Amino acid sequence: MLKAIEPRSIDFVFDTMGQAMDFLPLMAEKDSFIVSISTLPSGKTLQNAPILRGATDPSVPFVARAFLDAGDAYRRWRASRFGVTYMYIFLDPNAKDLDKMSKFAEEGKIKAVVGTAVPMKQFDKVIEALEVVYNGKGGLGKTVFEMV
Amino acid sequence: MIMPSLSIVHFLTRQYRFPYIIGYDVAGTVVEVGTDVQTLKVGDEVYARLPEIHRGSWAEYAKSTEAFIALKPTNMSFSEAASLPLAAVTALQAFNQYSGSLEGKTVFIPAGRTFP
Repeated sequence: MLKAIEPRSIDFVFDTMGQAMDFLPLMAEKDSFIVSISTLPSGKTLQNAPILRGATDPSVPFVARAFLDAGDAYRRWRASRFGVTYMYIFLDPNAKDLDKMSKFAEEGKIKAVVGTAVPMKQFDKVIEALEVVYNGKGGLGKTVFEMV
Repeated sequence: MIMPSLSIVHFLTRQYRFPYIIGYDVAGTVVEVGTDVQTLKVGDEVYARLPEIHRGSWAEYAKSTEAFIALKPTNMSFSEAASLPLAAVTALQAFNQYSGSLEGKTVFIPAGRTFP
């Protein structure tokens, strides 16, 4: 894949696989950007992550935070040497962005890809669908469980 | 009627407090609202990515505060709507980090699908 894509030809990468740093040589020399959801966050990003907001509001231990900050700073630095802006983000779930999504859907700008829809009561089929997702092979689109 | 969808995130979150009900994405019909709720009413067809504190969409009923719930697209079924919130909003927020327009630019999304 790295050979198939021309070096310095990509403006934006949405990294879902944690390979952000491998793609640096492919990034355009000006204004290119990598957003990752699969490398590691900085300590601060993790601490502020919606996923940690809950009943207990855990705080990230100091050592872990220092370790994460160092890793994040290193990745930003490596990216900057290629002229690339790199950042890690967590999803911030909210109704406002969902409203935007609804509008895009109604305008036909996005469409949903549901690969498998399984009634929750058919438990064998549910397990089968889970195996496909867990193994990360063979599935196309989202898996949906129907509760009706 | 509630339709959760499945994402790899479910396998990455490890908080062993039981009962642990999994599932973030959900689409369905509102059956009950609290007294302070202003944007939603009973019977609305909605979808949501539940906040961590209300995680548990693999169930017949799910609950959430209104800040996370939106009306589902009118041209989509519940199943289709349930497939969107977590993955699609993550992508939207990723693209929103880019200042300026991506129109005409080259965008690369590795692992946009898996192969058999």
